[in-house]
Amino acid sequence: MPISRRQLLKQILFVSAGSTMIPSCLLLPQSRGIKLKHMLVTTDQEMVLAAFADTLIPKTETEGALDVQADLFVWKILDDCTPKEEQEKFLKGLNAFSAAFQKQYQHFFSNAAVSERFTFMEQLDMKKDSEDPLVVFYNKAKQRLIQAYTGSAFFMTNIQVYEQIPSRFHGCVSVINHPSKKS
Amino acid sequence: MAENSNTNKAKRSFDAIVIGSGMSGGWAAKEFTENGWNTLVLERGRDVQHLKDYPTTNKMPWEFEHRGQMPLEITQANPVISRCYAFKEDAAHFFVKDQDHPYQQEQPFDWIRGYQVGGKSIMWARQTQRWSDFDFDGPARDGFAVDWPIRYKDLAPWYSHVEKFVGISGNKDGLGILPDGEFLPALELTCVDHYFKEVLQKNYQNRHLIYGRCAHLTEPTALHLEQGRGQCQKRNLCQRGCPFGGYFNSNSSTLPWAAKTGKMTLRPFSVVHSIIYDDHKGKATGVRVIDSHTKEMVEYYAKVIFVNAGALNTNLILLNSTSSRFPNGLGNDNGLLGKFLAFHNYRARINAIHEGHLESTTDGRSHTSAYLPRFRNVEKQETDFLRGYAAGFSSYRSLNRKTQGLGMELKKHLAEKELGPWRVGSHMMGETIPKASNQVSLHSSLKDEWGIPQLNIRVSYDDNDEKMVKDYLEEMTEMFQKAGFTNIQTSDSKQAPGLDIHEMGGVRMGKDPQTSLLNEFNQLHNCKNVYVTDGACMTSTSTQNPSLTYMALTARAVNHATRNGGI
Repeated sequence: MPISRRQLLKQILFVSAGSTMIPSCLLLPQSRGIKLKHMLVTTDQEMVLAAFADTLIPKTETEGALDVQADLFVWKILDDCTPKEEQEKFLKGLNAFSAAFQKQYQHFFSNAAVSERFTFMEQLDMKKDSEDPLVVFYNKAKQRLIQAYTGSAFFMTNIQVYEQIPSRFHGCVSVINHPSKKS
Repeated sequence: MAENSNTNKAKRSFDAIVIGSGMSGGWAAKEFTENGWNTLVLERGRDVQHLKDYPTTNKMPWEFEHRGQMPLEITQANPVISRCYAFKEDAAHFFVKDQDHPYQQEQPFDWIRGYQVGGKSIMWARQTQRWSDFDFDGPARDGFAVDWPIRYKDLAPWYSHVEKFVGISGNKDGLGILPDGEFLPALELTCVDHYFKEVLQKNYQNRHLIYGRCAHLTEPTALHLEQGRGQCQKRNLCQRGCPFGGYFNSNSSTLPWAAKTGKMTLRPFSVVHSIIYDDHKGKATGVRVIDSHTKEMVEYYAKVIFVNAGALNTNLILLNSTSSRFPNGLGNDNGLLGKFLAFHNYRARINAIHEGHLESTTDGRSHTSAYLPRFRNVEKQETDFLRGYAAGFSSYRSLNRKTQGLGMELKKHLAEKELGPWRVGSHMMGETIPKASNQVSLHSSLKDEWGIPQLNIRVSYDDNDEKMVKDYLEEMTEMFQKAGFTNIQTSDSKQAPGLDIHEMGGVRMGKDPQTSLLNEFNQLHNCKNVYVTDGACMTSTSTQNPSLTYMALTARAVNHATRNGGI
């Protein structure tokens, strides 16, 4: 992906700013340590998606999106299985998202307090049918993170247990007895 | 394993040679070795041993790097195989990549291949429906192709023979169009399958929804346990190879059975170049094999040769087996070798919602679905197209997941999965009419890595197929409407021939050497110690998933060969 000098400078600034301003409320490492083969993703972009994921599906008494590395899986699928145009669209959306937050709050999304991040994302969540590019990006990122989270080992062994070996098939059972209703 | 050309000729001599180790080759190996014949089984790909070589079989969904999805680098470089429904991270290693084995498409043709011991029997969809005389009578009654030289009564005992060993789950449905066989218990149909079945019974004379018979051990017999196979555990991950041997493939069943006799020599990495024809003796004497690693050519000899390379590769081998007696390919005096190919038309689908039966759902996993046998033009011609189609039918309760909100709210939603309405769907399995223009030939200059000519494939749909797609969609729509299904959506994928993975013909059976290549026992009319019993032998295609018929034809042909001492 070709990068202009201006973009590069901006990214370097983001990175250096980010590394000194990580608040303790967001227990993120400085870098998520992704290794991508095709896409060029800055540390700041990594951190924005990580903060997004942490806000979307936070750690509570159960694991959150970051615990199961949902953001890393999103990057992996984008990098390996997604056409270039879609990769670029995602990064563009991510940058716009980050910039819009910064404009509103005067600081970086990935350094912001959880409440600020939550409020900002909630506005977008409530406009889910809007064609506003920010909302479109929000929906897409949300969808990808949900897919990553619900497909994780944690989720499929603790929340909705995947049965590898059902050893049975019943064609017609009452919904009251169905496992999905039991929990 | 590698034997070089200096090896004693006697060591390279067998009673029978079987080219291919897939569905039909495995059966040839089993039947020959059980009869005490020393049998060489040649496989162009690597060895795949049951259990040992199923690397993904016990993996959990999250253990796949991309959770099943194929990387773009692979799909873009291999567009044909990437269109196959089973070419996913868990089974991709069993499929041939376009790049590795190129062929020439004179018209779009998705050639789906599996080059390894077991061939495509590892990844097949395991549907096993018998043919009836409504199928065998087809060409003669409707005036296409040539008359089949056999009828149901010729094959029926061999269907039984194969079914008992393979293990077929099914119900005795008592239908003339789809004869009953030797069945293990069927799984249940769903409530909505039952409902749709009743709707069809009430509204039509000859539309019977049944449980799709399939090669699964729902209740293994002593014969299955003796093979080392056990009960199907309803994982529905069959394409990876089954750790229980719950479904049939060559690797878990026929090949180890043949190996146990001590009479089988299995030689992987053996690309067959051609069959050796001896002008003097007036018969085939062996095959030329190229070791896929060393590229060295080795000859092997036998009394009888079975060609089970997979329909199109069987055509290729015979076309490439030229001699002064057969300059246009082995047995090809009439010039019809490679012609009259056909396949199954799988283009059309229909989906809908069923709003009833909300008090019920399914539990566990099924490995098959309901099946609607052909009802068009069965007793007589009644439409403006020839023949007809069978249809798969499935119904399941969809699961809805709410995704609104974020934070705690979203997390709570994600943990709750709600049952949505029943979804119903069907796909067509249409008979196509073999035509001389649907053919394969050898490319005049392009060769593969082993110096063997590449295959030109020229196969296309015709007007009959278009009419059939239209009819299927109209009829299914009507049936769905009668059932009160809503939100009915129809689609025509326009997928290229080949993606059905049911390509057939080119070396068809028939009564007359002038118009066919094989006789009623699958021997080449003009070279009787060469038999073809894979998809290449098919005179017409009917609508049934063909593997069961190939296996029955193979067992019958081996019986013929052994009774006749190798001709």
